[in-house]
Amino acid sequence: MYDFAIVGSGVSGGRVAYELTKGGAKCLLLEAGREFGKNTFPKNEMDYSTQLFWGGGLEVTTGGNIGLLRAKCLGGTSIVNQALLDRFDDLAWSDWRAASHIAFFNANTMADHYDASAKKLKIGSIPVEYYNKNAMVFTRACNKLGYNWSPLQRAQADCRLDQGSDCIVCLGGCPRDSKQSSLVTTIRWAREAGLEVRSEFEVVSISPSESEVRVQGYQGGDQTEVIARQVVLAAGALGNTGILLRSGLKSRLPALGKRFACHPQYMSYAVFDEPIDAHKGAFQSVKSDDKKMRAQGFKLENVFAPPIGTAMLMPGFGQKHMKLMKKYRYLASMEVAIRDDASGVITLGSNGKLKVQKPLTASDREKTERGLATVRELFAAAGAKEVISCTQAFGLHLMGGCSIGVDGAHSVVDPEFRVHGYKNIFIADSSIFPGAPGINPSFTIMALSHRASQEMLQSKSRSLGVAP
Amino acid sequence: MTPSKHLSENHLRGLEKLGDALVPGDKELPSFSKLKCVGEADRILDHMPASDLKDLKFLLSLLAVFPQFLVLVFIWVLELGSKIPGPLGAQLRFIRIGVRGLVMSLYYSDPRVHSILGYSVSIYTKDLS
Repeated sequence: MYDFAIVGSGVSGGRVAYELTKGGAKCLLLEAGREFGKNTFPKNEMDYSTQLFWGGGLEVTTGGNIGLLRAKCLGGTSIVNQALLDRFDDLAWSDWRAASHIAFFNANTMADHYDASAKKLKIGSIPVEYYNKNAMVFTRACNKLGYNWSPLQRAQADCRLDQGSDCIVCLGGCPRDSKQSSLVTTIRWAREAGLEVRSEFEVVSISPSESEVRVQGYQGGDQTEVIARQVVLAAGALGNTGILLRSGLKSRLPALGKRFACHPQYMSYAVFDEPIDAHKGAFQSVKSDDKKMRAQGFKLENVFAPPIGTAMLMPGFGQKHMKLMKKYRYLASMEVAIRDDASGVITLGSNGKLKVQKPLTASDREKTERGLATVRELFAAAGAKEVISCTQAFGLHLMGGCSIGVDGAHSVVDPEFRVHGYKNIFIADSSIFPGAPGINPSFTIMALSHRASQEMLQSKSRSLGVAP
Repeated sequence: MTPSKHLSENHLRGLEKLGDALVPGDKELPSFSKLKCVGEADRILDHMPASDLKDLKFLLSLLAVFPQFLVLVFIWVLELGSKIPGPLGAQLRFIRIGVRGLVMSLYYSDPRVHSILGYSVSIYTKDLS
């Protein structure tokens, strides 16, 4: 029997798998998606959108107001994200302490876990000489208007920007293994230490008992079951919540499915007279780092999108739409990401499919308007000829649904990362977030998973009657 | 028309009408139907959830028998209706995202369109074994 079955292979699943396997546990990692590698990632935007994401590319909230992007492949979101490593600030920690009543949510305690998580990763920022014109528009406009910005800390090894690499390609997986995804870091290290991996295994539900957890799902279309002493759910806000709901645990976990947040993001494009070529070179180098924006509940991202993404986001259709698309090389873009209220609710529909209700609150709408106004102000300062604010919101940071806290009536996971009332079900990924931090979550998911792994190893030792 | 595992000739006709309404073409960019990109539809449909595929087929069957101006009216209804709140607006937003996703993915993944837009990207890998 496995000591641990780990469901989901993204930032949390990979980290937990590595720490537990390194600690001597016999682990099985289950992933619903396929395993790709640097030579086999889908080669273009259409194919990677359909093959690397749930829902064939995009899922949508029940109101149709927010598109949700959720990776489905070995390595999870760490394959398709930008490997940004931001630590939480004091505001994020204090808000989490207030929401969860958990004392270890503070910068000092968590610093150890951030440091431990970063230890074997290659981390750096893009050198200024490799900023592309989209980044230059961003930084110059911020400088002109007095907004602070800073270089992004990125988990990347060797992008060869000197040889003209265009990092927008890596939105569909990095062909150089430069991006420090869990696939090429924690999962690789864990495999070397004995981790077993089964991809294309979609977990549907779990059945916990006193001595074991049965994990039920489908592999290759066949119904399959795996038995482990303990299970770690690392399938994200939607995945974990769905598994626990299908397992019939809602009646014992009243907070299950609540507090969903997703940092809704809104892209704005600006047309310039000269080519910007935002798709070329280093893709995302800098971020807003401004106290006023933070206080107002939004941040700005220096990003861009390939042609399909841009066409989807650009409003309208027909000749007007095509006219804008033909200016693709002349477009710069910025994205507003808001620190949204955790007002979303995840439930199961009658057909067994997940339903995500995520109405934006008045406060969310106000933050969005302020952010978009700031972007318009920045683009005007940069000399843009036209600014297009896209109305379609999308969420990349899916958080909550299994929030952490001391009180089982208002949270799902306890401070030792166990599901309330179940000693052998652990969760440490973004689904436990008690609120939206307004900061890129990856690094904190790693840190939480590192801390949780210590609890899990102690739990394993206790169950075997030996000292940890 | 290139055969599809999932769509009949009739469905593909509906898809071309839909595509031409969204991307009618101009002096530089070809129209959706001229690009003949419906032949690549299975690359998307192979990964589409079964219930979505069923709904898509129903919609394309309808659009196949619509005159082109009615397809345009349908697109306008989606564009304007998706701004209204409530369940009706939600349904129209779903359809709008699905329809645009399919058409824009097929059209803007074509290398000929990339060439006209000036989209050319690569990652240096010559130093890798």
